[in-house]
Amino acid sequence: MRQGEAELAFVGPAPYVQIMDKSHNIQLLARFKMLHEIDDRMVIICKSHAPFQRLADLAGSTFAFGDRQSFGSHFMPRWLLAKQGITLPSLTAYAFVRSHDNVILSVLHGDFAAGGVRLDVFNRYKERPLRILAGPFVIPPHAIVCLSTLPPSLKDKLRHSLLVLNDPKILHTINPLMEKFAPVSDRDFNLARKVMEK
Amino acid sequence: MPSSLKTTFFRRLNLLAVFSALLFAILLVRAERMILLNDLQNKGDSIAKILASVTLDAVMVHDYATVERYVSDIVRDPAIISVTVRRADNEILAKSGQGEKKEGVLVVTNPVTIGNERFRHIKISLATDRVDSISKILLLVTIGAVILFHFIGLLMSSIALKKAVILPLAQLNTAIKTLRDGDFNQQIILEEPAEFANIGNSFNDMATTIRANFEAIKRQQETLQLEQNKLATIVDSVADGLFVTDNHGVILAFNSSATSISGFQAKEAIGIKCTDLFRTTLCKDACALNHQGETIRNRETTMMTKDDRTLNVSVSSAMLYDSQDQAVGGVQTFRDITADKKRHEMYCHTEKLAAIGQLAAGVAHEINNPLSNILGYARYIKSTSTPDEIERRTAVIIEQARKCSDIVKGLLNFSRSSGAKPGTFFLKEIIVRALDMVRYKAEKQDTSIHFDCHEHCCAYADQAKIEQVVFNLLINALQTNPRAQNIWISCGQAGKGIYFTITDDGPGVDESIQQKIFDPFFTTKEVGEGTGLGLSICAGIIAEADGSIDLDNRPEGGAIFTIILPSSKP
Repeated sequence: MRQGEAELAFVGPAPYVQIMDKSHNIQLLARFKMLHEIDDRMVIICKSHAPFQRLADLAGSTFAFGDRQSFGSHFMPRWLLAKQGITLPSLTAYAFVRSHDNVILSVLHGDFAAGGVRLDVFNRYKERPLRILAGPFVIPPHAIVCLSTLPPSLKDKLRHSLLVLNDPKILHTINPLMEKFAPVSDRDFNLARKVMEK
Repeated sequence: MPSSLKTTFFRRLNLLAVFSALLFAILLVRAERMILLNDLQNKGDSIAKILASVTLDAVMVHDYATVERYVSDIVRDPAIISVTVRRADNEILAKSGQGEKKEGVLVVTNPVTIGNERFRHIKISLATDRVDSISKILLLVTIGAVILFHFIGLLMSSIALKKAVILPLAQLNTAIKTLRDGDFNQQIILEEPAEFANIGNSFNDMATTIRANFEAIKRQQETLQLEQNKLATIVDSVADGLFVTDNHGVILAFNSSATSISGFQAKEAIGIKCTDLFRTTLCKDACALNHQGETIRNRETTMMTKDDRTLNVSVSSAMLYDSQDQAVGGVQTFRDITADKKRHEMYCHTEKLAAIGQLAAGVAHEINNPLSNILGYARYIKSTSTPDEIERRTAVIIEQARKCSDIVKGLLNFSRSSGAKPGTFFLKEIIVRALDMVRYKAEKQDTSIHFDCHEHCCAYADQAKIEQVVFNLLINALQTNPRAQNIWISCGQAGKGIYFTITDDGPGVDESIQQKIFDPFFTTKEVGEGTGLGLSICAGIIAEADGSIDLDNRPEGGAIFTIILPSSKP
């Protein structure tokens, strides 16, 4: 979108903030609203029998992050660790395993002592021997954005179309837990801006 | 009822076909199942290797989600029951699919290695249900196909069997039955198959041979029947009685002459033992069966007729043998010689009287001398004798009278018909008696008689008849050879019998008449001098005694009569 090759995009909090704060050429259309707003939370997880009680216990251990651009599996966990005084160099090891699922499975299989993931992703693995070490923490939503250069009428139509979309078949093809599209504003991403500050 | 060739053939063919079909189907299904399982194994191996590669790459970057997604995607294949990826410590990295099944599962494992280090391994459980299902379908289809082809094969085989075997066999069977019923002109024409054509040709040859043999047998039977008829006619027409016995003496055949002689009808005689029918020693005396199979010729014995008359019969007997040279009985012929025997006795007596007549002149002279002496002495006593002279001359008279008496007694004894029967006697005694009767004639013609005989030579015969034989031969020697100066008489043992010879040194007997000399009424004497029966009677007596008489000429001149007699009862 930054290069003008796409006019619509589905973006998480981190990309939105990075693009919006750098070029201001995108505009929010609607956000995902999952059942119980489950996608708006993230948790720090560890194995069920891991000896950790608090985030601070993770000092000197290993940690799995998701994608480098992921808010829920990178920026937010890293910010939470930092708040406990745990910086990346203070970890024995860490890695970006590219997805929330890989974070969960890496922790599950013992590659790392803990990791940060969205709650809705973690719930898919709740029968595995894992537990939430910290959280859930509210995070900004994922949203549909468009180039701000699009005609206003088109943007209105797009927004309207998304907001009125209530056919479960269509919604479930996007995500089985999706309830609808909801209105969204730039303020909803202030937490992201705060977390992603240096 | 025995099963037919078709039934037997197809029963076995069916059994073989069903067994083969089952075996073929099982082998085919097993082979197909092995192929399918091998394919399944290859599929599992391929998936496992790919998954191992993906797992290796994913694990290196902690991309376990990819592994899980891969595992989930793989399990969507209905042939795959479950997929499990484990770490070296056996902890499950990813697992998808149903729980473990023990049956109908093919398990494929593949290690995930870095270098030689195995740090993960993959286990894929593949369902063999489809293989089983295909195997079952294939089994059913195969059995069905085999059964179908089998029935088609049976149908074709049945047609072929009928054409190639059943019909030729039926034709052959019909021909054999026709041949059996006597149609020897039966011929079979079988062109194929070659084996039956050969059988048909062999049958035709056999029928030809049988026909030829049958015709030959028929001709032989006709010839045999003709010969049998001839033989029956001959047997029935012979003058002698004839009967045939088995080995136990039971009469099997009885000709009409036998009926005429014995009075028994054939139907009365057949089935009766010889001894029971004739009630004499005929069978014991003269049947070859009772003499170790010895052929018997003209042996005299007796038999009892149906009306209880005793007949003298001459019996000949021989054994009958079958084709294996085993004795099966005997054949006996018999002739009624009762009349012949009486006639013979009469001839003998006549001959004896003739001999006496011939002796009469000599005897008269012989008696005349003592009578003259008696008369002279009696006259002399009457006229001049003193008592001493009377006693001496009376003794002479008595001696001369006794001499006359002995001569007359001898003649009377010789002329009397003998009623004696065969018995054992010393030959020397009868020769001496015969010599006494001919001594006068010998002395008269100046012929010396030399006698050399062993004291104990015994003969078995009618003693009186043998004495007549000796007498006849001596008279014959003296009468026919008046020039003979010597007559030699000798006797001795000859094997089981005895012999005696009477030899003279006369001119001998011409060879041309030697064969006739024993014929009745043959004589070389002048008419009125002989009856021509002497030697004939001698030969008859000797034959009757189971002996023999022969005539030879001496090399030096003269004739030799040799008589052989049994020394004991045969």
